[in-house]
Amino acid sequence: MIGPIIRLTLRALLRQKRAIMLALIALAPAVTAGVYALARPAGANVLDFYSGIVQQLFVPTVAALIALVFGVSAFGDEREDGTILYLVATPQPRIELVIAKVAAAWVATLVLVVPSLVLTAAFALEGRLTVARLGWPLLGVVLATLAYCAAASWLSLRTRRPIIIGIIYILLWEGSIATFAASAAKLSISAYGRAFVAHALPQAARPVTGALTAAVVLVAVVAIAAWGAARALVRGELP
Amino acid sequence: MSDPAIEFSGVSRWYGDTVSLAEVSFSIDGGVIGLLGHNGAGKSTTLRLCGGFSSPSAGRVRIFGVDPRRHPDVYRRIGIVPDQSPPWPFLAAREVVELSARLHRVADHRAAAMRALETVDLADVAERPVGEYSHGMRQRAKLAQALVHDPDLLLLDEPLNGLDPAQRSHVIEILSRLGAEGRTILVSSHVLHEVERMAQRVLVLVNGRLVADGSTAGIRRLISERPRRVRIATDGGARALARRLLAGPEVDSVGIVDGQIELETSDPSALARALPSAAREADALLAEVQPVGDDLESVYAYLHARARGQGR
Amino acid sequence: MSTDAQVIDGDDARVIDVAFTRYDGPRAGRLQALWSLARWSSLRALGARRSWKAKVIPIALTLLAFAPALVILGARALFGTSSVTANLVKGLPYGNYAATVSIIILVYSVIITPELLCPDRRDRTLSLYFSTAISPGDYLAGKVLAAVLPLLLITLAPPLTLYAGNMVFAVHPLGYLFGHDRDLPRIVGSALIVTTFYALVGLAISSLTSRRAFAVGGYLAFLVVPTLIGGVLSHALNMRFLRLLALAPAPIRAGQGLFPNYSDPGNIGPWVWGATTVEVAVVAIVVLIVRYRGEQV
Repeated sequence: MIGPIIRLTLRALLRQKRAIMLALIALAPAVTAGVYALARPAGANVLDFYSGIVQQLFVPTVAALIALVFGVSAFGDEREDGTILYLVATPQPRIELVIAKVAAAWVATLVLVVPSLVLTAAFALEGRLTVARLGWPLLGVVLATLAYCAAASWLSLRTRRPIIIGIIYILLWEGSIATFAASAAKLSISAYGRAFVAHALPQAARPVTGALTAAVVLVAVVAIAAWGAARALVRGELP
Repeated sequence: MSDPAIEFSGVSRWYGDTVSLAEVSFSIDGGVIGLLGHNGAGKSTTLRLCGGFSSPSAGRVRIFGVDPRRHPDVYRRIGIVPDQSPPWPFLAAREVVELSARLHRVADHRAAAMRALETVDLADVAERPVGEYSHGMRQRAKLAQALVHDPDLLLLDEPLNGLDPAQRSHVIEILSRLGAEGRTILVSSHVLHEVERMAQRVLVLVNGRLVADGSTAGIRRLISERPRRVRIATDGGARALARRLLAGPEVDSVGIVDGQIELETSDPSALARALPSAAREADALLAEVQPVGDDLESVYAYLHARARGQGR
Repeated sequence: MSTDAQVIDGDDARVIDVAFTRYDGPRAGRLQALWSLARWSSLRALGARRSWKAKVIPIALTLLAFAPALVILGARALFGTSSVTANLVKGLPYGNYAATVSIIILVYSVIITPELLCPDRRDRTLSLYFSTAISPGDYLAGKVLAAVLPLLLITLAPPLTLYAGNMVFAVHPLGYLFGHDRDLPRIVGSALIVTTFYALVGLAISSLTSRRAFAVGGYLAFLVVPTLIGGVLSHALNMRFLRLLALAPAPIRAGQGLFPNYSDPGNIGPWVWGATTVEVAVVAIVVLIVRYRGEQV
């Protein structure tokens, strides 16, 4: 029964102008790469630029923001207007409800960010585009957005201000504190996402850990967040 | 013996310093039960606890013998019509009800959805998005999604809101029929005369406390300290009869309204014994003797006033 | 509603009619209505009349905004006049205060501004507002004021606190006041530039949706994403004017231009930043007017 819930949630998330707004945000890195491709001076280090745009713009800001908004909205919209009751008052196991919602938010996020990443790589690297230089950052984005979606869904069930807390985490913790404190970076989802970029691009900033460890950590974040969200559905107060 | 549909055992629910329900205990199994109370009495809290959307701060809630929060399988047997808007307003009503059927694991969800929509008279407009419906149509859409899986227990929060008189009668008829089939229907409503039409039993909440539980007539009989009002129509001799009755110990007060006697008595049995002889002595022919204020509205108003400290 | 209940007097009794009556007393006027709307909207956005959870984030951010001033003044209180405290004071000139707490200002405005407009749309209470004496223009003016007031708490109050503390700790307080008399209007001016910009942009984006989540995401994306793009491109292409894409720090740079010793890493003058700030603010005002012009009872 996960399928119908995923389809329903995807329809709710991707309809109307808010999806257009998020699509514009998702395209920002691709547009930036396009401008760079047109205007770059001869002999410019395209790998440096590509590495910078993926590490500074794509993973920690664009992908994180979109995943946060979709992750919060997956449960949050229905919690806000009280219609979550119709979903909860069914014999579906709570963990299946959570998995369906997180999956829908994740798919919606990937629908927007994956084409943008592909375009960004194509514009920025042109002739120097390889499978590894696209594939590793893509893997990092895929896993990091899944972790963001799961964490955001958990937040939307545990607090009344999930988007604010998510923004503070992304901007203040990941965007400021974790950039100058290595130990704080270990608590940053985007740092683990960026670890995959470093696997393919030596120009990338020193990663917090290797790709395999990063994958394990991100999957663990997803599992813990999903468990927490299912628990919140069982124990928490619903509108 | 199977478990009752709803069982509350010493249930209290508080939010910070606000006590929403205080030590409420009751058991319901079968029939239509009205849940009555003023705004803030705890009706919605009661329904939310029954629906598993909240946990009691103290006490125990069991639906068919289990805690619905920990046994979601019990929702196969529960249909809920909450106060909130219908779900997924961008979907057509048919899609909403079909999805509800699927989520409740109904075998043939399409056929079940059509039956439910026909029951609530929405079959003709089932392809329109629910968000475009009028308020009354949305209420009926909510009812359809609650009925689609043929539940044994229905929890309804103000289900008649927004319905026109014909639709209200139709819904009351549906609920009465379901109750007569042995299902359990718990209805929260302010429209007391309509609750009286369909509910064999009422639960009355005042300030979070259960102050009465049972049939309207049964509750009425138990409120012994409240004098009964009786209207007596006579064919002549009303004033003489009134004087006779006032002289006796059975009557607390007597009045003449539009030529009819209206009296209050604390001992209806004694009045019943004394009335024929008093009428004979007053040369009054009794045309009608009718109790007044035994309807649900009067009973509820009395219970409400008494529980809030008035009239003591 | 009138507080004078109707009294019916008899010879030995009276009946006081406390039923609803029309209000016939003095009316305070449009400005009072506007002020009332602004005051209660801003208090509500800061968590007034709500649980402690709604208050903790605004309070924490306010304290963080005051932190640099409190650290410097605390050091001066503890260590008096020394090279350490002198370096601390020099290290944070008034013109740089907003830049130091820029991330706090951004997060604060992201929290406050969607709360001012989105709930009214979502709960469909706009028509209730417009059924009173408040016109759409009054409503917008009230909401802009409601956004500006809390933001001034973190853009104006902290540097003013620092100024007052520096004056108190100065060897000759009056001399400090006369010697730095031009700093006061500069502090106020730069705070107003930053506050008005963030308030207008936040409200404009919030006016486009009834969902707070999307208003927050859109607001952040509008400010943060171009800033990052501008930084990446200006560095990669060595084109300093691409830094003007940095919308988030634009008003802060413009405010810094009011102070002497202004400097910009890309050598972009304060008037250029000021023009960018004004253009974006004007677009925001136009968006707000267009969104609410069609609102009717």
